[in-house]
Amino acid sequence: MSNPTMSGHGESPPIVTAYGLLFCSEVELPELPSLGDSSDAPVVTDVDISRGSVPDHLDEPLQRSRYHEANATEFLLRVPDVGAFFVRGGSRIVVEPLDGVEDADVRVYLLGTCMGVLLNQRGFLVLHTSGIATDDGVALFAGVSGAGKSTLLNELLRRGHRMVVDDVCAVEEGPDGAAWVIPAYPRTRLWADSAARFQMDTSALPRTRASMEKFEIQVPDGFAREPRPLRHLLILDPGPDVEVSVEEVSAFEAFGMVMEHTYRGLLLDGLARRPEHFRLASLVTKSATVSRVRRPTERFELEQLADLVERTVASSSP
Amino acid sequence: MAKIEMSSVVQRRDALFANELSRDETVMLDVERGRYFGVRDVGKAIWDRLEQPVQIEQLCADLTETYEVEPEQCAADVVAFLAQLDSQGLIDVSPGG
Repeated sequence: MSNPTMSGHGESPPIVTAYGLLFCSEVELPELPSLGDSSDAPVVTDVDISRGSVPDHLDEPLQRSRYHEANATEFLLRVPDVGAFFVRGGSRIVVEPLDGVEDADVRVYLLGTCMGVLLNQRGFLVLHTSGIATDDGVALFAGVSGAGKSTLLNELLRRGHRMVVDDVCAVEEGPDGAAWVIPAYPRTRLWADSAARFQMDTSALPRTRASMEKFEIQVPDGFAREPRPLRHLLILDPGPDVEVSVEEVSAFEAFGMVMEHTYRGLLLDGLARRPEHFRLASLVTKSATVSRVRRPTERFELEQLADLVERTVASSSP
Repeated sequence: MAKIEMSSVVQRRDALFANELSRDETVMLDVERGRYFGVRDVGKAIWDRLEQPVQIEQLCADLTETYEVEPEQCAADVVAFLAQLDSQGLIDVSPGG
């Protein structure tokens, strides 16, 4: 154990849940709902997150950069000034933070890249999207950083919709053979300027990272936890001088968008996931109505945008 | 790359993943090179007929029955399209017997 505070107490870490999986984590994960202490009752967990030493290298990497190594079952990540992470077999994550690194900074990579890799190892297609539950399934929103995914999600939450994910989204083939979304956990993130738009008092909110003006918002009552079919994928695409509008795209374009908004798509070859990703990306294209949503870059037009999204996702697929 | 003639026999390459996105659109993954391709409309109709080895002459005869096109035009278009697929390594071309 590299962290002396975690050893020798005999205390069991709490069991937390996300993506329909049970995690036993030595790193505190306040954003994930807790099921209580793991010493209460014997529970078989799906994923163990522990503090320990991370291997220097993988034996047979398929892919390697300055910061990572990957093969079909293992993934190694080294983040300068933060520490090292090791993800294996979809069931184990080991973290080795550098001295003095705060848990919040560890969690950014644990719930980000490491979770994305873990979900890949477990067979999911992982998309970089936020999303809400609709009457008949799920509507996801994608877009480049700053396109407004989280701001739109928070406006829809304010209007009484329930969220399923904000950021790292797990998709699998559902019981009906179509693409389904497995909800993540009840937390959204907002940058300070967006929080101000919602007149939120951020003074008491935990920050995503100590150095960032980005805040963690828990939404325990606004979360839909059951897996649901993916009905809509909306690509937020701001442009200069465009009206708020929505248009369905061709299947080719839809497929390209699924590729583009795949979470950490550059790792697919290293994780030996390219063929399965292709199969599931095609399934998403066939299962969901994929649309491009335009808004002017200069103004958010949040009310109008949220109205349009509500109308679009209310219209059921045939 | 084999020369494409009316007597040539063509077939999809084995090491290729293909998924039908809609009635008119199919995407393919060349996993060795990590590249994606798409065919649509008549291109997809041709692609659909390449699952088993087929002689180009037979392929064109098939297509002229389905689509309103002169045989000469059809042959020229089909050979040009197959040459594109071949240049991307998506099909195997062998000389006809």
